[in-house]
Amino acid sequence: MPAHCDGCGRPSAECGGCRWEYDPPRFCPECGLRLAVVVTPVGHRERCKVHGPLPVDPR
Amino acid sequence: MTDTIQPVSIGRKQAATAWSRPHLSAEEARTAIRAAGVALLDERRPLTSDELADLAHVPDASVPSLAALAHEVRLAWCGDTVEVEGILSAKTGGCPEDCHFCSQSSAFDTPVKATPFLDTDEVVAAAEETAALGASEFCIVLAVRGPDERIMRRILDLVPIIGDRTGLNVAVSAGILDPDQARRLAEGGVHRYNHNLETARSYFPEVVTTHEYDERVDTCRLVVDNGMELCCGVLLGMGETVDQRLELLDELREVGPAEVPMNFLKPMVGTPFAGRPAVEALEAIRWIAVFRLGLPSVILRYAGGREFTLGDLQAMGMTSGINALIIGNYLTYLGRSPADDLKMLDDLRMPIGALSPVI
Repeated sequence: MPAHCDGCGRPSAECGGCRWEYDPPRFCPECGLRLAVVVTPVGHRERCKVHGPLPVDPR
Repeated sequence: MTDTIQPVSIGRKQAATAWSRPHLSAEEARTAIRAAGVALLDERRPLTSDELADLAHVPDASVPSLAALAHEVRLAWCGDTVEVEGILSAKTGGCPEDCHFCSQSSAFDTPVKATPFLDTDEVVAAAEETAALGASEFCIVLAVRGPDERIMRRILDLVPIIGDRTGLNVAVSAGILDPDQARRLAEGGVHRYNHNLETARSYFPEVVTTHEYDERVDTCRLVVDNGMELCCGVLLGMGETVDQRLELLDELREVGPAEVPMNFLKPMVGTPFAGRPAVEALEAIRWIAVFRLGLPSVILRYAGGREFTLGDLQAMGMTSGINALIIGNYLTYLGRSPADDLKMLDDLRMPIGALSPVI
């Protein structure tokens, strides 16, 4: 289980996952830091300045 | 405890739009819709502001009839073709303006982290993704007040590269322009320039305080005067009244856009409008239809918030006056799967192609 919610960055114990289905991840699931996100017409990618790129989400 | 079924409120908050006058009766609505059909289909004349106000006030039960007329008007004035466009936020966040709906404003603490102008290869790759979906238009969007010289040069470098590599028409959205910038963008091959009015003049101060409505109108005029197609969108559901939506429609008719993207507010965490309720689906259909009837020849595009507002009623919007859509993802959040939208168009027997304003 990830340590942080990728929708709001809070610890998973405080948030069980609040990300709307049409939102890309905004916070690193490992450390809760805000992610740099690039949204393109058919994809999106995220990078944490500590943990690097997030695995590719098929959405 | 009773044995009757009680309604239970679940899900998103729905907006109660502020109406300044009662709805028409069913008979009055039928008369108004019939008269609008005669004006737009037989006489080929635009509706007056009073006629549009009547149509905006038909009762809920008459909205499907209103939508049917809007679809017929769209087919008569624009044909059956649907224009598909992809958009890319090439420079995200950190915007100095305080548009209260926007997660990219530096005035608000939102989850969107600022990222610099993407590399040319990344922008071209996004355009190629768009072209592969059968689109004819690709819009480069930048979260800025207006373009500085460095941004102008990047845009002017990118436009011909994208055109050459993909064959797409290239649109740009880079905020407020001065006359020289508008001229350079037009000469540089920008096909369409996006600059939204968003809302009515009378409501604008509730939405933006860092620039004036007239600055937006001025940029719209520069776009048209320099021969670019004007893409000028609206964002409904920010708390404006029905009268203000009609006022916005009048403003749009004044600036004369080629394209009007219809956005519905998707409340963004951290923005002043984060708690605003959603536009109800039937209300969205009503306003798509009213905007089509008020702007019979424009490219009326499904844009942001349609997933949030319309849910499973996407096809109904397509038969209520819409004749273009943004395919795939938006600037900072995701859209419906392109395959679903393409199947919807195929199911509706709506061919995909490029559209230009009716002369």
